[in-house]
Amino acid sequence: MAGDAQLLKGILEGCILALLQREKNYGYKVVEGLRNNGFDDIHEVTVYPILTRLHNKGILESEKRPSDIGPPRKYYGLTPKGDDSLQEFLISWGSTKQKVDRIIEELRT
Amino acid sequence: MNQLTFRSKQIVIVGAIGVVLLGVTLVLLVMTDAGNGGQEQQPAFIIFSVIGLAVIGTLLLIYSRMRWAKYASSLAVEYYEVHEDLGAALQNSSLSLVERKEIQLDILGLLVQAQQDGRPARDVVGSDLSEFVANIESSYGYRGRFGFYLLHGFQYFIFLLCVSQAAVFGIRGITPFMETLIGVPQIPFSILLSFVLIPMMTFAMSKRKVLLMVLVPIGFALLYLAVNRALRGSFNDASWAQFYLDGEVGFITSWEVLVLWMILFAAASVGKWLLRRFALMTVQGS
Repeated sequence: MAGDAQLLKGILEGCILALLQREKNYGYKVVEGLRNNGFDDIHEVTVYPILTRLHNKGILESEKRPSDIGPPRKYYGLTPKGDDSLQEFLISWGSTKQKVDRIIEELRT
Repeated sequence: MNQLTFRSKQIVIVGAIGVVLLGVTLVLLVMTDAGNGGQEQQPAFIIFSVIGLAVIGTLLLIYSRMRWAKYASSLAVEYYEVHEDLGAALQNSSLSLVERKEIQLDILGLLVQAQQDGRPARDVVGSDLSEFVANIESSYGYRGRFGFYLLHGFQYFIFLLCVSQAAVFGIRGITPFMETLIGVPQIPFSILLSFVLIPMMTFAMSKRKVLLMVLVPIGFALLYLAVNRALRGSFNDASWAQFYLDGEVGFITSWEVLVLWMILFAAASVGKWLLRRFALMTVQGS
């Protein structure tokens, strides 16, 4: 469903911001972080365009650092605008989660 | 990497065609000299310019490939092909050269790491490269393709007519460059080349449509020759047909005109930059 994809995209954006607030990192490690947290089907093909969009929006900043195995890596971190976006996501997600939990709880009782 | 990838074969074929064309041009120049009985010697600088341009082109090509070679050479064929295909797919996008190179370098890094971790290349770019590139493109904002198409076409048109005049000048040898006239048919030919054939070839290359890459230029050349032949056969007495088939016009007639064409070329580049800038502003504002 297209709606699922949109929903997941929004959630992924928030999760990526949360991961990058913890620690500046490069694309591959961001994907690894998502997979380690249960997003098993997420690959670079999905994450790279999101990182690029967030970077172009001024939510992420980047710096190049040398790599032992390949070309210099682009490490992403949150800008002040990114911090605000993460806070907005946390509030919005908290509220959505609360509503969904309530409905599911009612369903169970 | 022992195997030749699709892109490498493509470059070898294009290079071979270039060498053949260069060879034929040089033979024609020498024959023209012989036909003139040495009366109208081709200036040596023309021949050296042709060779020089070919050498510069080759060196640029080698440099552009060597730049990535340090990292790309460690890739297995499966990953290397994806790296090369991505380059071709990006070529067909509205992204600027700097953006394309930046993306290609980022993805190369991801491919190197994926290979080391034993993950397939398709994890990095997905099963449809065009879709992947379209997603990246959209992360730079909406860029109406038509505007880029027109501006690219206009730049190719200026470039091709400059080349045409240089070629005619090279063949005639003694004509002062600013007084060199080009055949009228070269104008519609350059328009078709700029706005139809080149975009089609770029598309075919990005989609790996080998048959299209071969058939389109051949079909295009045959159609062009057939139309000219038909015009000469059926409308040879008509003044408009005579003007079209045998007329000559100046393209760069003075230094001022040359500067004007250069300004228009630069304006088209500025136009493309503005289109990209506006698109990026829509992303930043969202």
